[in-house]
Order: sequence, then structure tokens, then C-alpha cells
Amino acid sequence: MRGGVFKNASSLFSSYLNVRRKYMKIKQKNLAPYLLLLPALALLLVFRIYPMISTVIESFYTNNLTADAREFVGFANFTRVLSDQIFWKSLKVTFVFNLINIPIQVFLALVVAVILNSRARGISLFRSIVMIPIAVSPVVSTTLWKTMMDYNAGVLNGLLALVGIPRQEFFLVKEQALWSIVIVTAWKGIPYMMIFFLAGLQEIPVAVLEAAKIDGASSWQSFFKITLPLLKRVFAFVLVTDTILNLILFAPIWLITKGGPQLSTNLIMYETYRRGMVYGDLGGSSAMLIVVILIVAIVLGLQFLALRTDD
Amino acid sequence: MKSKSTKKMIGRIFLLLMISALVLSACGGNENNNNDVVAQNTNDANNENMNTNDAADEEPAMPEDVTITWLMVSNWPVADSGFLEEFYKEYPHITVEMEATTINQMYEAIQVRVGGGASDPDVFLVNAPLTTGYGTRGLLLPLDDVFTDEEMANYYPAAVEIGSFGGEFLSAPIHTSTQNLYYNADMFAAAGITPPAQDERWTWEQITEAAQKLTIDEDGDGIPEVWGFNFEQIELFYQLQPLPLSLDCCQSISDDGLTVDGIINSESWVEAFSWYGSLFNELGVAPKGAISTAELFRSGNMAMMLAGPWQVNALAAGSADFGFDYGISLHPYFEDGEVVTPTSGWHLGVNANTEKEEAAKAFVHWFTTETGGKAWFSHVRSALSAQQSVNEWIGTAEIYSEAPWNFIQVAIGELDSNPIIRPPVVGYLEYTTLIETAFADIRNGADAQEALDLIALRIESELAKYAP
Repeated sequence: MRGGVFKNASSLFSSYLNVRRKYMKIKQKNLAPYLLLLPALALLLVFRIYPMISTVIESFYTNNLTADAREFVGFANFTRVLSDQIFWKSLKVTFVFNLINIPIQVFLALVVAVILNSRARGISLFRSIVMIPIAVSPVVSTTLWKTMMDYNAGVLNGLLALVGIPRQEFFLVKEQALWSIVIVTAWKGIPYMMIFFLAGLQEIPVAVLEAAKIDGASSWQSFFKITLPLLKRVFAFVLVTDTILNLILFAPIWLITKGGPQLSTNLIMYETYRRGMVYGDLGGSSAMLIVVILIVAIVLGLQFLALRTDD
Repeated sequence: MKSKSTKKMIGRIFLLLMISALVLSACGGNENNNNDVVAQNTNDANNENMNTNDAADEEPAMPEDVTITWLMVSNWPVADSGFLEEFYKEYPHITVEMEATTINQMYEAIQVRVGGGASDPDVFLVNAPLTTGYGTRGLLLPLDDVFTDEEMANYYPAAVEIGSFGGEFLSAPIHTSTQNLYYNADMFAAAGITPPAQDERWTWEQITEAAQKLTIDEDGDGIPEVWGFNFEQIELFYQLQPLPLSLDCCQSISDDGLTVDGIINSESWVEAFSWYGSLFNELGVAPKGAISTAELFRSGNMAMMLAGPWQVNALAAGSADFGFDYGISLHPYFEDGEVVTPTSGWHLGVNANTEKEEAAKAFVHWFTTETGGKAWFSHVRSALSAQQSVNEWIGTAEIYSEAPWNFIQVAIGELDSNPIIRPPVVGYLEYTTLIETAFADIRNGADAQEALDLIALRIESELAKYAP
């Protein structure tokens, strides 16, 4: 009897150990990914989530002029921003800039990707050269362009003089400044977007293109009827990425024009930064930022709708 | 086995954390001690207005080393000038680390870092009219306990006024300043023009006429080899404010500091800045784009410049190499207007969040009282002192009695020629940085009325947040 009790207890204990071992195994298995994700999640929390929440909170408070003067003001910052002519001017400049810049970047990125996808001789060297701008930091590339397009000492004006074209003012006059910023951003943006197109092009099965060729399709027909439709997903990705990057463009404006001349390059991100960080209007700046985020979300939503794929 | 090793690991981490905490708390203790010792040293140096440390009196201790950071502008030739070495003679335990940047980046750094509660920089340059704005934001530590009544009385009254806010003295003045006309005498002789005498004041109309004659484009490529005239600080409000105020003195912003429409885009401002824009465009006597007026003058490519007294130093230092004679005269004015000159300059402030208050205050005190003032002029010679006694010393010192050093006397004399301070309003930073963008636009060819109308709108948009 006693032996039977011990036997039962022993088997109970061993099955307990088995269950526990299994449980620990499962637990360890389940915990591992979370533990591995923890550093990234912590960084995300500190540098993304916390600032976002803080921005939302700040937009409902008065200007943080002194530590004691912080006061809840409801939507007052939003009404102030929305009735501010400079905000609307800035928004208009941002839209004009994007309407010029995004189509140029996307179109040229596609063209370059198609060229680089060919099997012409020396294409790998050309591919490497085209990739160089991606490796250069935005600050460095902006500074280089600022120097090259300097009115007095810029190499571009030197080259123009060689062919008899008078010196151009580039960043100095409102008629040219925004276009000059488009050049600066396109230099980095085109190769970056091109990579995605190139990857998309290389995913297209050669057999499909060859079949079309056998069926008598010309190169143009293949491109428009097969390649482009198969790139629709890549297009959606590139368009969304490019829109986000350009709507929040900051470095070239901060380093070159500071929003001028005559507010012609006063993009909304720079306006937001200047209000908050330079002039201490954190409430107004946060409210402006939230409006911008909402606008970006709407634009992206529309883009997703327009480029929705059925599969 | 695994759980054992995990426990061991946790134990080790805990131990490490404990050790780190102990080390950190020990460091914290040291820092506090540092401040006490610095306080004692400062007491010894000044013998007044500072707290005393009885324990240190009983047993004098060697002051512990402390390093403070000083945020300043990169175009000041302080490094290797010997200026800080003078400070170290009195305060060998304090090391000053300079953090040099451009003026606009310095404004941003103060706003972002000090405004964000950072404890460094410990000391930073304050553009005098910004004292009100910084004071409103609580960025500056009051300095009333740092200076004696005698030292306060030694400053020019305008400097004390602009350095104070809310009944507290918040920024101690290093400089005051003015602007004078510098000219290349050889170019005047070659063009057959008699330059103004040292005590003569030309009108802007005379300057325009002479500048047109002095501008030379030998190869006819549309880019003159010699430009007629330019301002040294081409787009700065400090230098350009006297232009419209010469025509209609002396308002640059409304009394409450909130509105500018009808002031900065009024007839007199548009007239003054249309003339300013014409120098770079229609008349073509001054260069556009990023250039250095002083360098063009020194290299013999600029016939006249309106510049600060610090240029006497720069010119004297290289006068042997120039190959031309130069002279100085008084600040011009418009024919139908009145004489108005710019004034004030840089001040020093202590970060309200500094953890090295005593050392920072000791540095500011030394820098902005007589010993530091004389050392500054002797080694750096940047502008005129905000201390009357230092300027009197410059005026009588034998080493400054010969040409070109005696040009500095002309500048000292100009300090009384209707000097107008920049408006010390709470939104001065917004006001000045924005209006300067309009000046840049006008210089680059924008219509003065259009540019000033737009910037009036822009400035008021920023100032709206200060409305009660």
C-alpha cells in the first residue's frame, strides 16, 4: 500500500517535472523573440512613440515660455495655426514642391532603373556610379550642392559661363530657389527610389517577356502592357515612400535657404521646426505638426486607394 | 543548469549596477565639493558679494579643477589670443572650453539646449536685445549678486538697461559698438575724389555718388574688380536699422512689441531699403551672394565699407601687406534725415540650469569687469568695451595713440552720435532673424515694398503668441 503510494507520488512528481520542463521550454521559446525585440522596442518607444504622444499633449497647452506658464488651452493652438496665413502659405509651397518633385523623382528613377536593368556592356560600373548619392549623407550632399550652386564661386555658374549663359542666382531669388531645391533632393532621391524599381524589374519573370516577344510584341508594348502593370506594387511603395520623405523634407531647407527667399521654399517641416525649436512656440508647433500628420495620412490614403492592387 | 547560470548572470548585473551607482554617487559628491571650492576661490578673488565658506577659511584647500563650457561665435579670434590665459592666471582651477558656432546656430543652440533644460553650456553669449526674451523664458541666472555698485556704475547706462529684465540684471555687457566709414585712400586719389575727413560725416547720397565712380569693371564682364561700397554686416538688423531711422526716427516695432505692420513697411522704411537694394542691383556698386566685405576691402577690391571698430584691429594687423592707404570717418546719414548710429553689442549670461554656477559666475565677472575688459581689448580687440573706464584707458594708452590704432578714438567719439539700441522686446529673436531674411531678399533683387509687406505678416504671425 505504502509502496503504491510512493509509486503514485513518484510518477506524479515525474509527470509534474515533465509538464514543467515542457512549460519552461514553451515559455523560453515564447520569450526569446520578445527579448530580442526589446532593444528595438525600447528605442522605438523613446524616439518615436514618446515624442508622438508628447506632441499630441503639447498641442493642447500654451506656449512653453516659462516653466510656470504652461496652461491647458484646448484647441486654441489649432485655431491659431489654422487662422495663420503663414501656415497656409507654407502648406501651399509644400504641395507645389511635392507636385513638382515627386513625379520628377519617380519618373527618372524608373528610367534609370530600366537602363540599369539592361545587359549593356559596362552597366555594372554605371550602376555603381548611380548608387553613390545614396551613400552620401543628406547634410553632406546638401552642403556640396550649396557650394556648387553658389552665386559667386559655384562651379555650376562657372560651367554656365563657359557656354555663354549668365550667372544664375539659384537659391537667392524666389523664381529659382524651389527648383534648385528640387535638383538637390532629386540627386539623392532618384537613386534611392531607383533601387526599388530595379528590384521590381528583376522580379519580373524573363519567360513572360520572352513569350510576349515571340508573340510579336514590340519593346514599347512589352514595357507598357507587361512591365508597368507588374510594377504596380513597387509603384505604390515608391510613391508612398517618396511622398513621406518629401513632405517631411528638412535638411536642404535648413542648410541652404532657411525657407527663403520670400518664403518661396518655406516647407511645412521647416516652418514647424522653426516655430518650436527656434522661437519656442512648442504649442503652435505641435498643433501644426498634428495637422501635417493628418494631411500626410490623407494623401497616403488616397495614394493607396489609387494604386490598390486586386491580388 | 540554465536557470543557475541565468541567476548568476542576474547577480553579476546587479553587482555591476550597485558598483556603478556607488561610483556615480561618489562623482556627484565631488561635483558638489567642486562648487563649494569654486565659491571660496571666487570669494577670495572678489572679497565681496559672494557667499563665504567658513570651513574653507579655517583650512584653506586647493581648489579642485572645474571645466565650464562657453558657447560663443566662431568668428571671434579668441583661441590662441592669450585672453583666456589671462583668466587662468587668476583662476587656475577653472578651465573654459569654447564651443564656437555661427551666430544663427548659436541662437538655435540656446533655444534648443538651454531652453530644453540642459546644464551646458554654462556660459553663453547673449545678443543684448535678446536678454528680455531669454529672461521671459527663464534661461538666465540673475547676476545682481556678482557685481559691486561701483562695477555696475562703470558700465554705459544703456548697456545695463538692455541687460536687465524684470528688475534683475541678467546679462553682463562685454561690448558696446558703433560703425564707421572705412575707405581706401589710394582708390579715392586715383578717382580724383576727396575722401571725408576723420570728423566729417557724409550723406548716403554722397556715398552713392562716390561708390559709382569708384566701381571698376575693367574687363567689362559685368563683375567689377573693384566694388564701390558695402556694409560689413551686409544683412544684419544691427547695421541696417539706422537706415530707415535716419529718415524717420526712431520706431522699429510697436511699443507693446507685438506689431510691425505700418512700421517696417512704412514709406520711410521702403525708401531706405529701396536705396539699399539698388546698391546691389540697379547701381551695381556692391556684390550679391555670399561674400566678405572686410576681405574684399583688405584685398583692395572694395573702395568703402561701413564697419565696426574691430576692423581697426584687423586692418592694423595686416597694414604692411595691403599696399594701400586707408582712412576712417563718421557714420553716414540721409541728406533729408538725421544722424542715427547703431550701438550695443554682446553680453554674457549664465545658464539658469548650470551645475557650475560659481565657476560660471566667476568667469562672467572677470570677463566683464576691468581686468577682463582690458585683457579682451589687448588680446582680441573685438569692438569697444561696455565699460567706460576701459574705453578711457584705450583713449589714453600710448600704444593706441599712433595711426592706425588712433582710429579707435574716432569710434569712441561716435558712441555719442545719437546711438539707437535695437528694440529690447520679448520677441526680438523672431523679429530680428525674420527681418534679416527680408533684407537678404531685397539685396538679391526683391522689391522692397513687397518683401517688407510679406515679412511684416510673417513677424506678426510669430509675435502673436506673446499677445496677453
